[in-house]
Amino acid sequence: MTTIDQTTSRPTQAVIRGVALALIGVAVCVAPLYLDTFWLRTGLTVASAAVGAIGLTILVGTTGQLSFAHPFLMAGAAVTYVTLADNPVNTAHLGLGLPPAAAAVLAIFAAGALGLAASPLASRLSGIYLGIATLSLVFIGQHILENWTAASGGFFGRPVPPMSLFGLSLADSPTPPVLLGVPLQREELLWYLSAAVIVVAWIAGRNVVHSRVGRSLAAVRDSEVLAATNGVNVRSAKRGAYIASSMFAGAAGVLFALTTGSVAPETFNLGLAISFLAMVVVGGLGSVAGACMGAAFIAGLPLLLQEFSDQLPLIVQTGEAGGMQASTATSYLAGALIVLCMLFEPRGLVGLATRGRSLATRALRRTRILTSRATHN
Amino acid sequence: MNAQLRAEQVTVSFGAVKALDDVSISVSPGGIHAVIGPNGAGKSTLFNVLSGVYPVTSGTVVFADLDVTKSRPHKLVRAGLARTYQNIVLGHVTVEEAILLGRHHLTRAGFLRCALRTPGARAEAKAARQSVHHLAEMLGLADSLHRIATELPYGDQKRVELARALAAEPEVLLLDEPVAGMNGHEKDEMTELLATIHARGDTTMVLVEHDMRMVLSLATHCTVLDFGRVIADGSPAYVASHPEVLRAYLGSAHAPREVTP
Ligand SMILES: Nc1ncnc2c1ncn2[C@@H]1O[C@H](COP(=O)(O)OP(=O)(O)OP(=O)(O)O)[C@@H](O)[C@H]1O
Ligand SMILES: [Mg+2]
Repeated sequence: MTTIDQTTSRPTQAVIRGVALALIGVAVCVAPLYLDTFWLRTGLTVASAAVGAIGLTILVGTTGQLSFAHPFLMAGAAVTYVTLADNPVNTAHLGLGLPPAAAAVLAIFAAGALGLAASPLASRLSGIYLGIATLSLVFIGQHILENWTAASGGFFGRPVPPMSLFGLSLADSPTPPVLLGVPLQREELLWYLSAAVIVVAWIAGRNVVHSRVGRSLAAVRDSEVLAATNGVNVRSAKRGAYIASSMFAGAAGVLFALTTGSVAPETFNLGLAISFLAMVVVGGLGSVAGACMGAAFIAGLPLLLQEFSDQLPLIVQTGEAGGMQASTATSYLAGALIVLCMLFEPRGLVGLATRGRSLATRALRRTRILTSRATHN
Repeated sequence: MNAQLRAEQVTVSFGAVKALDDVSISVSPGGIHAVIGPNGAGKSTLFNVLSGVYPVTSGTVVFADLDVTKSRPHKLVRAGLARTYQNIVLGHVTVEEAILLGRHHLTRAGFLRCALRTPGARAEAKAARQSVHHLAEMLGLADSLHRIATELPYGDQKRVELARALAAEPEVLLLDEPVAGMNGHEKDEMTELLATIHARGDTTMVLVEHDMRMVLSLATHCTVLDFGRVIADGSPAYVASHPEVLRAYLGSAHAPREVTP
């Protein structure tokens, strides 16, 4: 009997990976040409959530610092972007008329600065106390923005000036750019922007987690004494994690503002904070891929349930009686999923995926052995 | 030459308990300094003070011109101090990652360079990885590099901790019970390993150990603690025959031979 390779060899894996990545890349590029507005909007919502969740998983999962502050940071970045980019002539609010791309970059840095300002909390508090302290930031942020109407638009919010890159405005236009015969309007253009941002966030997030810095953050999570006696400056490691995580939140905030087309302080509330934690827990703490899966699940599901409520049992449109609203149903599902994760698969969706993959390779190997036996008998 | 590590008249109180009571110890560079004593004598507390983890109630601690009591522990690491723990602390990481942590202070890349994987950061990471693989080879951990550290057998976990401390290329290495919980064969291996590392001549070792056979075969100097006080200090042979030491061990029902906590 000839020998059979027991594991899928490394080059094969690399090839499979490469092909899969190429397929996903092509799919993402052609998707907006075929999808309708609903699916595009869902994709955009998930993308912005995923960028934020990648940042949060670095802070909560890798560094072990419980944080509810994400909506606060997103709000900070969103309002900064709108204020910097809005044309002072046309707006009823505060506007500086900066180029939108520059405004977006500055907004991300503004979120980083907010994170830096919040980071001393983490050197004084830990665990649930830190969580509650960060939670208060959400309320403080909302309060400030609701009252500072010149910047935030107050309760009703304010419209978001469209992004503009290399002279191309990412907005609906009577003369849109055309790709393969399909006119690219606001949603399509934002789709490509979001895809680019997610790729950058994913790569940066993974690189950090698997680097010297990522190891020092994990050491801080596992034991601060361990980290410190191995040469890690615990305070500055936490500070760095806060700043980095906040910049992801900032990018998410800008994307979110661009996607929804208007920012209102009310959006960045406690519910959003909890949703973000749910994303990183459900996805698998500390995993970048998991954060994205969690975001797809937690941010995407309510939109899907809402859209297909007439075809689903128990789910009703907002305002209707005799069933559950989509957002409520998602809360239940997310809650149940978090409990199930904690009980059975602490690594979350990413853990499930790994299990699935190893089951599949084992099954594959078994069939190969069986078939080779069959041929050799 | 090697950095000096010295504690003078150190007292550490936990409420009513004086874990260390007016303890002075001077570690001479290049040697293997054993710290022995019955359970609860204050050996681990002394290590925690020397590595800057515990604050002192009174007294001074100096390492390589640094005031240890006022320095945060990572500064001491940069100055050449590394340690292992009596109760293994590894965290949920692979063996390779655990050992790489030891090289933290010898590498530089920060958030931005790590996120971008700049050529410099990559070269640095590669060099760190190579030295970790080299260490793993030396400590017989090469086959376990990609396993989760806490899932290894106990003796291997102890070796991972040693590897992590060695990865920091320390001038002074504090080892809190490096062979505790090991079987006889593993102990011999570890003793030999420590002797080999020490023979290369650039690491001063301070060693807490209950195994008197190991202490006598390795140590160049020995300090005995009992109830937080130094009761004897000198060559291992001198200390082993010191009447106070014998009394301390007999009185606490632990002979200074084979005591595993
Ligand atoms: N963090 C702490 N808080 C309170 N008491 C402590 C603390 N650390 C040590 N002690 C006390 O200090 C005394 C000395 O403990 P230490 O761990 O230093 O002893 P040891 O010599 O290392 O003992 P063993 O051989 O069991 O490891 C003990 O009475 C212990 O209970
Ligand atoms: Mg001890």
